[in-house]
Amino acid sequence: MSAGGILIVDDSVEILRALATIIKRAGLVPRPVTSGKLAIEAAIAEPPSLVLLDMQMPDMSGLSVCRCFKQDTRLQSIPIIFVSGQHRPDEKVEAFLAGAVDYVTKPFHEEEVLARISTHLRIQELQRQLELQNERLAVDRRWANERATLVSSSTRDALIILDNSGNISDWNSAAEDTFGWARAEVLGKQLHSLLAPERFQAAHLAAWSRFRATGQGEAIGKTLELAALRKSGEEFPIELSIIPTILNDCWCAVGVVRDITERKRAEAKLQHEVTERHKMELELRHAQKLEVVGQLAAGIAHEINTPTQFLGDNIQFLKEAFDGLVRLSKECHAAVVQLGQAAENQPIFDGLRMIEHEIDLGYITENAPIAFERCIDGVSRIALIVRSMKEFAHNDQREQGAADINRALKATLVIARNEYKYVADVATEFAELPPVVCHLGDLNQVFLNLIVNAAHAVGDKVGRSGDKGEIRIKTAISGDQVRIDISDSGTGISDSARQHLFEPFFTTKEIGRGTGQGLAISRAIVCERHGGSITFESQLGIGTTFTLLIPVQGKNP
Amino acid sequence: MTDIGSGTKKRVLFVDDEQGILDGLRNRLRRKRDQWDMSFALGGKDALEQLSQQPCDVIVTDMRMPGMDGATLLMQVQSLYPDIVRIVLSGHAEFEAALRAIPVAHQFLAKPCDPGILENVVDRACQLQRLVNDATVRAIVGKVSGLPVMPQLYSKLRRMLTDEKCSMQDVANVIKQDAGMCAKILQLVNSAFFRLSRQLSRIDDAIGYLGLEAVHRVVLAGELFSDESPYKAAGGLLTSLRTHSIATATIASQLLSNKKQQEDAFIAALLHDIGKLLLAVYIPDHLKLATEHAKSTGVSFHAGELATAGVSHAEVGAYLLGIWGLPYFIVEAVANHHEPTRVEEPEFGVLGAVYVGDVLAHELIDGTSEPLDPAYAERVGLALRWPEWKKRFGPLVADLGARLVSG
Repeated sequence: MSAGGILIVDDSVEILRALATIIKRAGLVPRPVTSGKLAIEAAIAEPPSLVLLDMQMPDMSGLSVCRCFKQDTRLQSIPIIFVSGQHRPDEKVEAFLAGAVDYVTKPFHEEEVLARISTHLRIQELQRQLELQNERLAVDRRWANERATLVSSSTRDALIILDNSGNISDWNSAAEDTFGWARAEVLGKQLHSLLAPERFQAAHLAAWSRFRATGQGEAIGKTLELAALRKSGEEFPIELSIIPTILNDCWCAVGVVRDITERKRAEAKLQHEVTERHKMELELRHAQKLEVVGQLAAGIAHEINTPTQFLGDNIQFLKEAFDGLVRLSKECHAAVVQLGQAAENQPIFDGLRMIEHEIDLGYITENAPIAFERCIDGVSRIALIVRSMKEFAHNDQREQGAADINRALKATLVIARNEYKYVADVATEFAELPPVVCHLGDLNQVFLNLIVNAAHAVGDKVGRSGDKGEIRIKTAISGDQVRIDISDSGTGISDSARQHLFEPFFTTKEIGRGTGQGLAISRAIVCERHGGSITFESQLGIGTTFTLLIPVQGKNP
Repeated sequence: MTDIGSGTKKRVLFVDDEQGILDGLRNRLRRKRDQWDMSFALGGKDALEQLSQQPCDVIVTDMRMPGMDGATLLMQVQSLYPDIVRIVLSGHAEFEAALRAIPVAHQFLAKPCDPGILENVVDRACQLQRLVNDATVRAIVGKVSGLPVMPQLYSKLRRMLTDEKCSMQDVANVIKQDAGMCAKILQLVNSAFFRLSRQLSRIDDAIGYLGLEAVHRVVLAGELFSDESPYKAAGGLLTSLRTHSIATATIASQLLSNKKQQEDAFIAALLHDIGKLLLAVYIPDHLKLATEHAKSTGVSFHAGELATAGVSHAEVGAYLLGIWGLPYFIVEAVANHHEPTRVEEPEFGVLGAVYVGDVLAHELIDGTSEPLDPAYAERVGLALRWPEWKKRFGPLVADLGARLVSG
């Protein structure tokens, strides 16, 4: 309580000693000094809890010392009690005016001095506590204020307080940033007419008029995604939460608004990426499937080529051998006929006739050559199919290579023959084309898709009527691009199907007949992989023409 | 060319690991029995054994065979019996297989092979052998897989092919300066591995079809073109030969008006002296003796060749390109570029242009003037056009040397 001790100031050593003894006895710490100057120094070095100050001292009077104390901010709060031998009332007044708290006259009584000291120490202590408490209160209040501003100004969400009429009564800095309106510009303005896009205003106002009466509404207690207007007139997406509150007995609302433009953008980007990845996975799976098919095709082609070679060789041989035998048999027959004219040779002649009849010689000589031709034709068709299959499953390197587009189309027609041969005749009109730098295996895939689609379109139209439609394939040079038109006389494409035609998984075919990936993949191959284009023209009931444009020099890297 | 059958029968050996194929070929080719003496070997080992008993003129082999495969067999044949014409008949028409066969096979056919094609190819090989009667020269030509390329040109091409930014056209423009590489590229692209519907003779088209990666692998593979020693030994001669070929090609192509003919004349003229190139590298004495003889007797170099060796660079070149399966018009023009009257060309065409281009190029570059064949000159009315041509091509040839890639 009296940590700084009691400073005793007196020029008389006896009095100092006497006071010190009294103080010590009371359990306090006396700090005796013999002059005012020393007192000030000692107090500055370590402020005492209280000062007992002699009024009359030779070089510096007690009043002067007291005034010095009161003028020094470090010392002014220390209570000073004068000790004086004088009994003049004006002196007492002077002492109090100088800032002393009490006054003791010599000769003094021990009890009186101690009572006065302890009273003043206690007063001082109480005062100190009071000040402390005040200070704490002030800090608390400051903190409370600061916290409120901090929350409101540091949140990224716009906080808007609306009074019962729907006017803005508060607007934080985030609201300023979000909407572009300064606080001063919006206070007292009608919120909905200021911030809501016109098309939503009626609904907002209706909801508000219900809310202001009841404190209820569909938007209450939820987080909604809405559209709002910035000062610039730009519309942007927001997320809004409304907290109802009662102020002055009326329903008011605190709105928390978050600008979700970025989030929406990120969501859209993510969505796009997911779709892209899905598409890529599809294409990859498709490519892997094709690669396996390609490897198989190459292997099978080799296997088939070997027997085809000797099948062909032997048929050729048999045909020539047969022609020789027929020639021989004709000569023999003529010889025998001559011999048969002699009666003795009749049995030989008859035997020969019987064999001729038995083996049906006339039929054989007439039909066997045709049979050989058929065989030769069949073998060359097998060879063509195998070759086409291999060419179709062209093992694409990553590098683009030059290719003969006409030949690729021919090969694809052989591959796809089964799809169209019962429903359509194929007419080709090939211009002389330069080599085209491309990924041929991929383009073959596109050709196949389009030819099969054409076959299906024609098939749907002719049905089981037995009629045949037409598929027409035309190539041409168009500037520095090769143009390929694949037309059919099929059903045509309906208006509703047109806009979705190149979308993945869009199909008009029944389940099992199309995956809906053909045209999507075709477009990716033609446009993205080759820098070309794929377009179509169609008339319902008349037919469709798909047109491909492929740069001759390949895609610019 | 001329009829066959008058001479001795040609011996043809067929090799396959499948008896069915051999029997089929035996049956089908039975009708060639008067012209060909055919034998059949079941696999590479059997083939080498039969060859050690009696060599043949043409060998036709499968590629994929157990034990010794076709490429290995042909490599052996190339070193043991270089004058045999080596033909591959494979059902495995992959580019990888072609790459393996390129250095050792003269021609490639694919199974199934249309009736007639095999017969034609073998017949043509036999006929070509009659062009070059000397078996030693035939053996030397038969052994050749590729002709050395001028080192600077080769390293330039190597740089280009490893540079991702270089275009097909750039590569074609460099390859077009070298007869040996052109011949090799045309051999490959016209082989059955590419199954083209028509024969290609334009280098730009050929490189287009092959693709740069394939060209890279062919040009840079092995030691086909990279041998520098001939250039160290006879660099001057080879370089002037190259300049002459390009000058001839440039002139020949401009003598004709039709675009296709211009292109044909260009490639035929570029290759017209490939026999000289081959002789300079592999039989330098041939050129030396012929030159000396020509000087001492005052005849042309071509006549000197015929007098000293009995065969000229024209036949040697034609034989090489012929057994490599290059388009016939090229072989014909190369074979007859000193004696155009041997062929009945209905009008001034590719052969004529090569002939005239050759003479003009010699005159304009070397200053040597070999008189035109008077009969031929009269037939196509050359005399009238001669002065105009000389005037026209003089400046063109003059700066050719400077324009050519030398590094």
